[in-house]
Amino acid sequence: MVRKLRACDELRATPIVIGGKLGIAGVEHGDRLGALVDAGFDAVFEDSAGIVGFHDFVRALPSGVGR
Amino acid sequence: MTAAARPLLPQAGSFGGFVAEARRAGRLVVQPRMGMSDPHLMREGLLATRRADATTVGTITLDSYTRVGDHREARRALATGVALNGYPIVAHSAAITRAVTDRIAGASFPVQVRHGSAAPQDIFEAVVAAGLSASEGGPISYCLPYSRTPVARSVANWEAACAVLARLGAEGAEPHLETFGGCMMGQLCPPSLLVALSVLEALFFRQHGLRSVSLSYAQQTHPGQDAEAVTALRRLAGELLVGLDWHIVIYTYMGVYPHSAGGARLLLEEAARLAVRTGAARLVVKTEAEAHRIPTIAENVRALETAARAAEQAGPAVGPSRTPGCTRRRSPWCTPSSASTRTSGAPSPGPSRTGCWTSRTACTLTTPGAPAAISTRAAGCTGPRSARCRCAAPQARAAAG
Repeated sequence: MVRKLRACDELRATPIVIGGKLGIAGVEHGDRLGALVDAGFDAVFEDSAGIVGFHDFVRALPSGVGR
Repeated sequence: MTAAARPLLPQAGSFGGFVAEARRAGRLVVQPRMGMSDPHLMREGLLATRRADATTVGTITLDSYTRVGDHREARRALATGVALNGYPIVAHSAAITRAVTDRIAGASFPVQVRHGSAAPQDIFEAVVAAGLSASEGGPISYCLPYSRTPVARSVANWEAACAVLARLGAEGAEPHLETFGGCMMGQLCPPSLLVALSVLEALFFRQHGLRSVSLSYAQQTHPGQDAEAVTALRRLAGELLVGLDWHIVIYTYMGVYPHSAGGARLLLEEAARLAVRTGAARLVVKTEAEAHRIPTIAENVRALETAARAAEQAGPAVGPSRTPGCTRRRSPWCTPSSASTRTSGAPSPGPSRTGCWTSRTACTLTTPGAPAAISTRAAGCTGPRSARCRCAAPQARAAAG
């Protein structure tokens, strides 16, 4: 999915993240999360990690578009 | 009563028949949500459900690729060994699904396929091909929350899907469909809307050839409000589904679930008590893993047994007895007698005379201490028996009250 999005010129630099319960067996670790980043997500927020990391990510985004 | 209005007796060995029999014996039927893509694991799960210390029916929950009709992706996952979040019944052959249920599913252990599809025709074809006959959903409840399919197309899809199942009726089986309308969005729906949707979807099923249905209601956040809602649901079903085999199924809380094992267990027990208190015949459980991941087989078995024990402690699955000789109409809130009174065989102190269990228009008196589903005619009652009075199915009481 994210590879298709990244293949669109206008979405190449758009911040895209994924989060929640990402596996079927509970908390996902290292490799699987890394594979999602490699595929094109800017960040991965596992459900169990809480919301703080996501808030930090959003705060760090440059406001506005125009890049 | 005309012949056409006579209630349909559920067929022995059918899903509806199994639930009706458990109900007559005063046992709440409990059921897991369970689906694994590996056929061996799926079979293991069904077997464990069957062997649980509870009155159970089995579940095959389908994966999300199958729910949206993406069978190619489901097949690819099977080919590459990627585990899915359910059993891909269309991607697997009928022979494999028959092997999964072989010598497990049957009259003493019906198996229901649960999915979440707004276009379930191919799912139902696979269900029938595998020799199964029970499923669930609905044209609204499996459209609005789960898909981008327009409602009109979902309705057409569900008409076609009902025809696939109803076809079994001509072959001597009794297919069963359960409305998902009592859950809808999981939460954030007023109970009145859930009740209306459940009833409407049951009417839809009847319109399209089903004769055995169940109506769902998902436990919300207020036990009193839930009891009122289920009472209303039962009353409406009693009035509108004359001639059908039907029962009520409660879903354990479908919203954000407690993270602690204790909290999860309490909520499940609360759902079991709601089911008993409201005369529901079946409960779909949730496990302690709900907040974290898909449950293991062992966690599901534990949840089934926890719910069964909570239901037993709450009393017979059919409801309270009534003061001897009381002839007042029963109100929805008439649930006063304690479990100890009901099981002692002594006359229950019963409810106040402003709300009793029967009315003279339909005799459905329950004998104190008798097996939960056996009723006797009230002394002096002259009213006609209701359609289902013979076994005091709670639906009749709701319809009569």
